[in-house]
Amino acid sequence: MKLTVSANDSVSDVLSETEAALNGVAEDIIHECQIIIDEFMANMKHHVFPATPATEWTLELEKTQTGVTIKFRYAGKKFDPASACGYVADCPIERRDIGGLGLILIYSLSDDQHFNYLNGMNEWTIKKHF
Amino acid sequence: MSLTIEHLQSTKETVSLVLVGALDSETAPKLNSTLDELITPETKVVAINMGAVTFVSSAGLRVIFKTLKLMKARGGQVSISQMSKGVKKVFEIVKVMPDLTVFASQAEMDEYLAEIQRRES
Repeated sequence: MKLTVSANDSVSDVLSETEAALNGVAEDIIHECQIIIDEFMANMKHHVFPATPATEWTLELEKTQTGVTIKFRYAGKKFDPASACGYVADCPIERRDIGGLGLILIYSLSDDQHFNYLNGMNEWTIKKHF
Repeated sequence: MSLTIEHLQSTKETVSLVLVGALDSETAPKLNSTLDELITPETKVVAINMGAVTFVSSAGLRVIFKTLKLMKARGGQVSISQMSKGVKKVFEIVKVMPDLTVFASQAEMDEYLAEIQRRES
């Protein structure tokens, strides 16, 4: 499945299309892929669209015998997610920030992540094994 | 994807909800505003049945974290019942399980809320 997404597209539509594209895959894997895609959309909404609202990004989903490959691509300033991913503090909730969890979830719920920036295009490939 | 929020009941110190659907970046603001409306200065326990929640992303976690911080600051708590394996996995990744009061069933949570109501009266 390949989908082109713009700032006005709804999260629920993209997540519903994801569910349809992954038909036959175990429900828990589908939900984890939906979390990954939701986190990416939230990052685009908060960090990319405010400065460049006309940006479009593409989502490619590939179902293989061993897992699911999710590929995000968009043209713009280089942003390597690995450089921004923090960690979960090992302390009670009262002493913790409530932000910065999105990238942590993406990295924790997937098995392989690869970022590439070429000719002004950010490309992030995420693999989730069965 | 959508989220349905059923307000089961409120007492002086408790607010009890049932969530159905996905708690994602699009639906989390709805839970946030519902809790803002229902939580009073006296509320000490927010009880949420998550038996029919398909998944929780970081936007949903932020609402739970915010509520948890508020309740803990008052000496209260957030209770979750019927958490699915997938939802529990997300809570475990962000290391929030020790801060939550978890019940396996709605009946257990109802019993706990009834005990609080007995103390209130």
